[in-house]
Amino acid sequence: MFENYTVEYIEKDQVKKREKAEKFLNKLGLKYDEGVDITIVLKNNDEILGTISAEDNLIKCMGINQNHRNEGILNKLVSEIIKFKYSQNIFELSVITGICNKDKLKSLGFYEIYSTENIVLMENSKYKFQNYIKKIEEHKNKNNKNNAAVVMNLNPITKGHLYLIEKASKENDFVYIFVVSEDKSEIPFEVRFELAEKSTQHLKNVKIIEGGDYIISSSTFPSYFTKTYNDWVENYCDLDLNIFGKYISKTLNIKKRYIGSEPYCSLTSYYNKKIHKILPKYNVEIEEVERLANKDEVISASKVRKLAKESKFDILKELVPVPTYRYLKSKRRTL
Amino acid sequence: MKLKKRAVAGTMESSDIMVEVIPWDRGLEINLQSDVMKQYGKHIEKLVSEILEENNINNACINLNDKGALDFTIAARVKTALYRAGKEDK
Repeated sequence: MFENYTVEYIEKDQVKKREKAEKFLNKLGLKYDEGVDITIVLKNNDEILGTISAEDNLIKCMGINQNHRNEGILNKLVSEIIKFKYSQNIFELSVITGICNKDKLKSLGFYEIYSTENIVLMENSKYKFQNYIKKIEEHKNKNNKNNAAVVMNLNPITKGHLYLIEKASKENDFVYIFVVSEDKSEIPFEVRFELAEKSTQHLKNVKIIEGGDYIISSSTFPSYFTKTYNDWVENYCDLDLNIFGKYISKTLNIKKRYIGSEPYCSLTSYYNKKIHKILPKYNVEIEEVERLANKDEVISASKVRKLAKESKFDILKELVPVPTYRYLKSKRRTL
Repeated sequence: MKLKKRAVAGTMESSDIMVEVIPWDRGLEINLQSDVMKQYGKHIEKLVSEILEENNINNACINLNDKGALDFTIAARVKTALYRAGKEDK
């Protein structure tokens, strides 16, 4: 096909080479995602034929030179990235891409998980999503009819979160709390999870569950192929909430999802708006709860983290459950 | 032959085949996707099954993505993937 083609592996610190890949993508109207840990570039002499990147297990930033379409370049790039990730013991790859690429990726061994109007989530493992649903099903409470769910990052759990959880616990037979797994928060997932368990011990009908890869996982943010911020957010919400409605709430027989009102973050308030639109289609009712305030000020986890940094533990004590307080105050941040 | 870890071999370029071997305890499963499924699907499955039998492999998931590879390419890729899956991690 090409006489002198070479494959170049670009890691995070190779800034100059990354810039070249970025320029190439920009010309195609695509964005380069700074978060990627590997970029693979296929070249013929000095001409870039195509590029592919990945962040952890998520394929991103695919672009093919327009003069070289239908020459099997994507086949080569996808094969290369699978092998590269295999060498890092990452075996199962996901991709979110424009719906127009669905058939092409199917031919490269990717299975469709869910399609919205514009984008599709695909994975090259036949069983990953099935196994995820099976794992969630293990938590299923078979006796109860009125089950509710809350999805939270809990970074860390505050009295505000607890207020919402307690309300849901009172109003329903059983409550599933999904803790966002993505480790991009200040406090590691294991700690967020354990503090949630400890802080809700008194509530017998509450179960804390790991959110996993399919509930607000930032690794499924579609920052490629979709070109504007608005598209990006809307598509992401569609994907996330439809997967929740169609698979997760159905598996656990969830009838209600509780959300906290969001006065600060515009992204979350947009997500909340979408929840009201999408989940009722799957017979999931939405209960939006006003945030708990302490002396006229709404309690937020970001405020709690700020107080911890400033060592203002007297004020902080008022805002968080005891396990969170102990954790934040401990010098080495131990549980 | 005992499989110890997951492994891949080959590519999805034209005339090649990408083979993934996943050790598990649920018997043998061969998932074949091929550009020439109608013409050669059965033939490829038989070829791969024979190689698995020769190596006494009874528990594995074998994923094959074929882009029109010839028999000796298929055999080479499958054997390489098995060999890699049988090697200890260093």
